[in-house]
Amino acid sequence: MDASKITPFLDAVVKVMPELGFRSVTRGRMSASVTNKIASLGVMVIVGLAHQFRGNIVYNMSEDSAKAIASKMMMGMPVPVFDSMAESAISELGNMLAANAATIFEGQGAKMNISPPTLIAGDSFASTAGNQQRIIVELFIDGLPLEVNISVNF
Amino acid sequence: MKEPGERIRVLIVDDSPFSRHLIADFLDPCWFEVVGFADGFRSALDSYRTYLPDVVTMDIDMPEMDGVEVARRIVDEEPDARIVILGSSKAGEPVKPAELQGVAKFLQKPFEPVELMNTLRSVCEGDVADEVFNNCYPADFIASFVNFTKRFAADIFVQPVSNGKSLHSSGVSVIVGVTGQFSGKMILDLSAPTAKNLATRLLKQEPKDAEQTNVVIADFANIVAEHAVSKLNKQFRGAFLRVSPPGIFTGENFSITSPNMDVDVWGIETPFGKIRFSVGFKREGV
Repeated sequence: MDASKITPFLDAVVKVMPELGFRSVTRGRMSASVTNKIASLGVMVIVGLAHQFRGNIVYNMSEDSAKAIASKMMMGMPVPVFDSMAESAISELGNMLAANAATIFEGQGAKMNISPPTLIAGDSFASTAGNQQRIIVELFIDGLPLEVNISVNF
Repeated sequence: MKEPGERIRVLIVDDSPFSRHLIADFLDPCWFEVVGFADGFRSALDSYRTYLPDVVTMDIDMPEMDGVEVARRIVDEEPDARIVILGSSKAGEPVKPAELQGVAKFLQKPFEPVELMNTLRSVCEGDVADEVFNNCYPADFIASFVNFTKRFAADIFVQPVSNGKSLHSSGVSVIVGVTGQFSGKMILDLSAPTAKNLATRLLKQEPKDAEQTNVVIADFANIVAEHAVSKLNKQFRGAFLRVSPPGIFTGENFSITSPNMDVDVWGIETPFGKIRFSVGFKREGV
């Protein structure tokens, strides 16, 4: 998988987060994984991709990150526990990020459709069938870590 | 869906030059753009591939091959093609709606420009009513699961269970996304021992490790989803459903939530153990 092709997924984060009230998105490590397994940091949102590109994108974050992001999305409402409201906000975040990436791809002439987000909370590992390579990009949203896992057949 | 201001691109297939221009003149250029003309199967298929129109109008009465057959062949080659057959009362046998199902829409001549434009628009914008689709997809998905599983397991027992938005995983969950006019997902959830039993049956030998087990289960889920989606695409032309590759989740203690959508859930007793099967859709853009 050509790493330069994943840029729209990251540009989407840079575009969407300020709209939700965050000030900065900075980039940490980027790596390519040969092992086909993602260890959950606590909360994962998976969005399926189909049409010209097929694959999955997984947004992986700690429960603390998820609560802080959900709180910001709900106009600063405190989120002491990761409840159904917060779950709904975080899965909507996954939807917004993937939908924005799809729009950016479309602007470049590549059609990508997205499935509704699914939220996976707790101790788990995510993987995909086949030896699909995965690119992992660590981002910090006002200092909160958010890991973006991209496995797409470009 | 069309953005406001974006025109619907039309390919006109008719052997008569006069009719081609008449149809083109019927289409208001504010809303429609005629991208090409063709006069038979070969030129229609070539033009379709060149211009990728949103919709094709097809005269039913053509000398080389009738419009229904041309439409059927184009759809065979290009399953995304949307076709409206323009039928004439003097074309002999009336077209039975059953012959067109899953292939094309039919508009009887003579028609007013507004009728033609409305038909083309409805085909392009997908006129599949939410309720109709929502009433059909659960049955198609569970049928796909049952039909496939029955090929290698006689005794399976399916029971709908109350549909909560969140489910605690039994250990292995496979999620297959569906995109298109309707987007949704299918989730297969089972314990690690059940996954191993099922994978052993499908492979006809014991999987070499948990990873191989999971890949086999993901393939199984993918086949079930592909079959269901293929049936729905035939039932609902214009829905353009596609499946995304399966995502596999494993662990001792995790839950799966699908906020903002209704999910149908079944508990299925199989010789390999219990499987929980769920499917849910939301309308695109909602």
